[in-house]
Amino acid sequence: MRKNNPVSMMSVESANSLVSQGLKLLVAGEEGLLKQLNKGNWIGGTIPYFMSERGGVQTRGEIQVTVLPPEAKDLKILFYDEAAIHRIPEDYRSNGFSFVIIPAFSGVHHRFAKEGITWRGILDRPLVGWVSGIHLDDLGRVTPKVFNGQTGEVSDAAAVVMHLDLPREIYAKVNIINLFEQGHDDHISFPQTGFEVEDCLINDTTQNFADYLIDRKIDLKLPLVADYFGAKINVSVRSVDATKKVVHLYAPVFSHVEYRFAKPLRNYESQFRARLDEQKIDPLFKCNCILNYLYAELEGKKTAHMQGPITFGEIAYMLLNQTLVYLTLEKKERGVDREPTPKI
Amino acid sequence: MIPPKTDPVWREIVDRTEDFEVSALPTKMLFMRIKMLRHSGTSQSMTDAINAAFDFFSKNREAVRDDIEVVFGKQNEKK
Repeated sequence: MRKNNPVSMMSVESANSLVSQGLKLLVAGEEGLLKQLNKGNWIGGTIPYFMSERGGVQTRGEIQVTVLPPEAKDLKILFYDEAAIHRIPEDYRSNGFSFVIIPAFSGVHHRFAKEGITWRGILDRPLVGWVSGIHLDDLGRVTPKVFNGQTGEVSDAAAVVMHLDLPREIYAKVNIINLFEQGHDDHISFPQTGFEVEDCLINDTTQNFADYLIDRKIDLKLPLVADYFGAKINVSVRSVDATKKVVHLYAPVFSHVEYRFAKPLRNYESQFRARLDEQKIDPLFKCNCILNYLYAELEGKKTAHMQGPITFGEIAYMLLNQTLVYLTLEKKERGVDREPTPKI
Repeated sequence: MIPPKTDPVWREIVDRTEDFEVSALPTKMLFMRIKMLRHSGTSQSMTDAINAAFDFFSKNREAVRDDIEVVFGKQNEKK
C-alpha cells in the first residue's frame, strides 16, 4: 500500500532534524554517528554498509534512516537481555509489528538464533529486524551495538525492540527474497542444533562435517539451504577448523531439518532485479546480508529500489543468512489493494 | 472459521502439515516448528504443536487468510 520510499542516507544533522519532529525512525550507522543523535522515537544499530539510493556503499560519514509512517502508533521501545529475550512476544501489540536489532556475537544473538523459533508466540505478530555489525576492518577491536533512542542507552549485550501498533484496517507482513535454491547433491542433517558442528549425517551416513567440506571442495560462499515448506532458509559457513575438525556457522543448523548446499548463483544483481520485477513490492523496511554484499560484489551496484542496512544477520521471526528480509503494510479489505503473497 | 482448540481437527492438522501448500512465511515457519515437535514424539510436544497452531491462526486471521482457507477449507471439504 506504500507508494514512496522514506529511506535515505543522510548526515547526523539531517537525522536530528527528523528526530526533533517526533518522527518514528529506524537508524543504522557507525557508533560514533549514532551517539550524536538526539533523544527521540528511534532505535538504531551499528553498521557501515548499506543498500543506498546510490547503490551498495560503505561509509563512516553518513547514517541511513527509515521513517515509519504515521499509521504506526503506540510506540514502545524496550531492551531484552539474554535472560529476557524470549519475552519479546509478551509485548507484541494487538494488531502491530515489532522491529528488533540484536548486537552480533553477543549471548543474546546466540540465544535468539538457537531458540527463538521455539518460543511461544514468536510467530504471532510480524517480527522483523537485523543483527548489528561493524566495519570488517574493526573485527576483534570493537563490538557491534544497538541504541534505544528514547533513553540514549547503548548496548552490546541486549537486543533493542520497537513495538508498534496499527489501525484495524491495516496489517503488517514479513517476507524474504532468497535467490538461493537447494542443489541436487547430498542431503545433510545434524544430530544437534548449534552454530558449531562436528559430526553430521551425509545421506544418512555419519561423517565429520569439516572433513566433508574439505574432501568435497565445497564452495563455502554457498549456504546450506533448508526447505521450510517452500521457504528456503539459509545457513552460511563462517569458517572451517581443519585441525579441530569443527565448522563454525553464521546461524545455527537445527536437528531434524534436512539441508543441501545451494546451487551456484550467477549475477546476483540481475537475478535480484528479475525477482523484484516479478513481485512488484514496495516495502517499508528491508535489509540484506553482508555476505551477499561481499560475495556478489554489490558495492556500487543497485539492488533495484531496495534500500536498507547490509547486516550481520537478517531477522524474519528467526535469524537468517544471505537473505533479503522486508516488511510491508497491507490494507485488510479483501480484494481491495490487497497484494497476493509473493513467491519466497 | 477457526475451530475451538478442543476440536480434533487440530490434531489432524499438526499430524499432516505436509498436505497443505501454504504461502505465508510465518505459516511455513510454524509448520517447520510443528514438524520438529513431531520428531520429539511426546504427548507434551503434540500439545505444544496444537497450542502453537491454534494461537497462530487465531491471531493472524487477516495476515494468513489464504493459508487459513487452504488448511481449514480442506478440513471442511472432508466433513
